[in-house]
Amino acid sequence: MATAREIHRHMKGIKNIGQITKAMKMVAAARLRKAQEKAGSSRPYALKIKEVLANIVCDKGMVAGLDAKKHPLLQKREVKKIGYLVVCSDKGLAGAYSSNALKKAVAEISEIEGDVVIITSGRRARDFFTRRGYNVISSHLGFSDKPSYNDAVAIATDAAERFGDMQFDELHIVFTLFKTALSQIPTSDIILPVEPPEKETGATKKSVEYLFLPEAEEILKVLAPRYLETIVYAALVQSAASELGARMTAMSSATDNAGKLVKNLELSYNKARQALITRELSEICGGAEALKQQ
Amino acid sequence: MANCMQLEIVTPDKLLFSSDEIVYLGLRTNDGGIGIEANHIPVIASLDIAPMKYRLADGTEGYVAICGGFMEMNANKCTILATIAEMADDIDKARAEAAKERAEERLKNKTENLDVNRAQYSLRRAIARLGAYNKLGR
Repeated sequence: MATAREIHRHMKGIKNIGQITKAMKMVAAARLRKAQEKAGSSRPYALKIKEVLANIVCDKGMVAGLDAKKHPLLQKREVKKIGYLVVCSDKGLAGAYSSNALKKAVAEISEIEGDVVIITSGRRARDFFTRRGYNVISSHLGFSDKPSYNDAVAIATDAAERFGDMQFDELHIVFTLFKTALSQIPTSDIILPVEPPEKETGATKKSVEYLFLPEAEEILKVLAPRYLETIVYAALVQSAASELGARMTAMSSATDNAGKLVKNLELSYNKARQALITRELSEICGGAEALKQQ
Repeated sequence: MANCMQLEIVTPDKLLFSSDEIVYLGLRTNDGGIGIEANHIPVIASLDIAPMKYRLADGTEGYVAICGGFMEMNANKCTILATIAEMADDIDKARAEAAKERAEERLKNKTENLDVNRAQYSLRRAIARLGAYNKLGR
């Protein structure tokens, strides 16, 4: 059995760890709230841009004049090479968040027979795929828990350029959808070629003929990349919220475990201390007896 | 209120501005300037980097710096989707001027690895911001 002093040192160490994990939990909780707000406030823009794109692609007057499929980002071609954009965290200590997303990606990739190239976002994804010898063509780091719109623009432009250069014929994205702080779902979607959104069909929403300034084709040229950016941004924001949520729950259970551990150690510390005292007492008593008998 | 329309300016981060008492909008599209009044026919336009002007029903006017984006006008409601947008009141004049000088400097002394497009883009953004700011009449 460990001595009282050893147990005491162990206890102190665990108390310190508990304090750190508690602080991390609080930080994650505060940032999670902000990330959720961000996810909410980016919705209107994304919805609207989708609507405008749907209007351009589906507008009755334009069907004759504009072949949306001709636009490079919308062009469907034979799929020989598939790209994967995997969104993960930069840092660990977020429970199974990163490994869940990576597992999802690996499961999908292993089912593909052809060539696969990978674009990563987040240090964990980069390290994971390079270490396992996948063909990582580009990686983005340093913003996983606080993505800005510019980060999404950087990724989207990079992806669009490589798509244009025929480095892949289809791009899938793997990110983590935020449900609640306790449940995050790794999800995958095809983002390139851009699938023009369907126009809502409803009796109330009859299609209007728009005037385009400049021509629809020109607008589409600027709009399609923007649309891609919003999709990537939404994925980044969702992933960031998931990461913070996962970190919060992981750190909260780590704090609980540290508390439990300290409690157990305290018990054995008290026992050891008591044993020490008892032993000392009996030694003194024994000594006194021995002296008396002389 | 018959001559009013709705306006919403949305950026990726937030809803920047909304009002339903707009009587006039002056915008610059990639095809030239346009003016929009209530009950305009449906339009979709892509916007240039320029200040935008709006006039409310009570006659007050305001400016917004728009750094590229789109506008959609439909059913008397105008939505502006801007990549970056700032209300004239929120513009930091000193910062915009500094950005302008910096961009001009970079364009003047061209170094080898200068990203010309990027420098021009930031110059135009700075000019749009200053334009919106100066039109406030301060």
